[in-house]
Amino acid sequence: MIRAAFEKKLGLEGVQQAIGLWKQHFAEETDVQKNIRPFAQAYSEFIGQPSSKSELALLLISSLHTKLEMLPPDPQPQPRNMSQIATSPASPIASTQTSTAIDATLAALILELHEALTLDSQGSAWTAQFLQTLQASSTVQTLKLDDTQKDAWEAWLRLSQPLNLQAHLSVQQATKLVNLLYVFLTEAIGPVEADRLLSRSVQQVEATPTGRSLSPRTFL
Amino acid sequence: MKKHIGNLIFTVLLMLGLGAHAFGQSTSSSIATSQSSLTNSAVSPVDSPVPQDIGKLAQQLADSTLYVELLIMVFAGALVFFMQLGFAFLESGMSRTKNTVNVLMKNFCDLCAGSLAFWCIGYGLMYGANMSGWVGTSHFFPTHLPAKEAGILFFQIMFAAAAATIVSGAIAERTRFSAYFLGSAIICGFIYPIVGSWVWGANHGGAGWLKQMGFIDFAGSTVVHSVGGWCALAALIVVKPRLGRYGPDGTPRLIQGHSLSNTVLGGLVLWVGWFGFNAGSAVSLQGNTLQDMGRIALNTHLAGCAAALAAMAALKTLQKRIMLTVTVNGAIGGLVAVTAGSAVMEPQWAILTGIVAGFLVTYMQPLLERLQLDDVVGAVSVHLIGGIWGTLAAGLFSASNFLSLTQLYTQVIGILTVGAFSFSVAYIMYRLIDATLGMRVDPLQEQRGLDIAEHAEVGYPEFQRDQLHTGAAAAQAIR
Repeated sequence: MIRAAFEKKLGLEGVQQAIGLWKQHFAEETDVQKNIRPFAQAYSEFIGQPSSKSELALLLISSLHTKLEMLPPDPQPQPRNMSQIATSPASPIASTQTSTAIDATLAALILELHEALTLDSQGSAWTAQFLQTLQASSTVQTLKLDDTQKDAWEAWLRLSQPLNLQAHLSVQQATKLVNLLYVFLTEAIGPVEADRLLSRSVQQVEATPTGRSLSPRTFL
Repeated sequence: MKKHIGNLIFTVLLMLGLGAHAFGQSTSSSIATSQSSLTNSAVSPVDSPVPQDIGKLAQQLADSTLYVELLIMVFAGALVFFMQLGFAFLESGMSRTKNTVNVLMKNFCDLCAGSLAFWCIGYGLMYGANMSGWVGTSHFFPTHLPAKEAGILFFQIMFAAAAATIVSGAIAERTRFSAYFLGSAIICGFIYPIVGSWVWGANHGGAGWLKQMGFIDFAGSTVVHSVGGWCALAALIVVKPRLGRYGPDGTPRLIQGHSLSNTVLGGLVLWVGWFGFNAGSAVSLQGNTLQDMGRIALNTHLAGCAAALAAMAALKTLQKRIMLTVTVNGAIGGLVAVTAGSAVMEPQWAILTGIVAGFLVTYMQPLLERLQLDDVVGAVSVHLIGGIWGTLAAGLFSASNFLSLTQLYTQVIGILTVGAFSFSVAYIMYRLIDATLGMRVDPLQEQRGLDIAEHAEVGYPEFQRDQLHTGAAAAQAIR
């Protein structure tokens, strides 16, 4: 969560550089406070100029070694329900938290749909089209994923890796994505079967911790 | 217990007595008054005036005839209104649960909008002075109408609404409510009355050009049902099929309705309404007499029965199981077909008309599917094909012009011109609506169902508790 928040400021590469530098030269010292200033100096030299980024890297390392309650307070209160999440722009940390839940629930739903389709009599033919639909119509183009996320997404689409990306989808984007899948399903197997299959997948995801955390009905 | 039974019997007797009293008052009060005044000399002249001459008696008899006609007209109009209930049941039963409220709303509201549109403009276009033979030009926003004309207007309003509501079932489950609503008002206020003016106009001078040619359409196989069918066909082409109705290779997929009970109930209610639709027309439209009503009702009923059986037979010839939906549609097709000629043909020909209609309706549905027309309730095959056949049958089997080629030619001219006008105007209208309001809901709304998307209500809250579309996004969409 903390890392994701800093990624927004430093970028994925910046965070990886900062953590790499810390682990390589400063992490052995058990007392973090002793090495934190030398780390900031080294990071400043590493990036070529003293800047606000080195301060951010300092803050990042501090955060990673600090209890959560010692962090600066979240500028906005946490949302109480999904409709509040859907409608209100949350703080970066809250937004990341929400996006993570959305990503996870969406991934679980898509996985269920995929498995249900595979069990369908049409088998692999529909599955291949399902993946093509996901690739072509939705995520890559409309969600504007960066290259890293795109690679992770496509690897997941090929089902070669578990989905481990932070696409930071909003509820609206996820809803659109599920609707595109629904349209595909209706074209592929008919609306009656599509309703049944989507309904079953939603119920199965709802039975998991991911689904209990954020119901896939949010996207319907 | 005995006391309850006694109360019940008393209540029933009281209702029967009141009903008989009301009926007697409205239908035969003048006759009774005249008879009693002629025979009972004890009644004073002030209380019950003795007719001074035969002219006055004739006037009283004419008045009583008018009362009977008005009573029948209003009752028949109410029966045609009752057909809206039939359409609502039939169409909602053939739709999926998630679209029930939308279908019911469309049926409910097209009646309201259509009735007002017909009163404002439609009646003038249809029954106003029609010297050209093409359209009426007077009596818009009619007021201070004579008694019988007010009855005709009431009856005709119900006809106009019936024509418009045919479209609703055809394009159910994917059409924007506002677009349908506007289309219905235009059909009732413009398309239906113009065609009506050709065939049935006018009440204030002149006559429709088809009427002058001798075109037979007694109660509206063409004027009501074909016009509705043509409009439905145009709407179907514009709005396109529901998501997934046809597979990638064009194979049609069955999307079953949620309640066949509603479907058959709707079919039977329509059947009841048809007695008012056809028999009531004897009073209001064509100058037939009350004596014709029995034959008209008989023909109507026999044709419906024959068509239902014929639809079942047609299913067997297609090597299919005997399906309820097809049988109900077959019966309605027969009722549509006999509408044009129910007053002019003998029962055996009404039965033949129904048989052919039953076969046509059943055979046409797969053909329409091949054209990838997604007609949810089969309105085009029932109302358009049934209407066309019925109009031809009226020409062929008319007792006065049996198998007359001249009459058949007139019927064909009428069918073609009405079709060309109705379809082209409706097509342009729906295209314009599509370009402005948009005819079709977006795929997300189709996924959620139009009940949630358009009305924020569901048809069966208890049964739909587990429905999919109750998420925050859906809730946000309906806010």
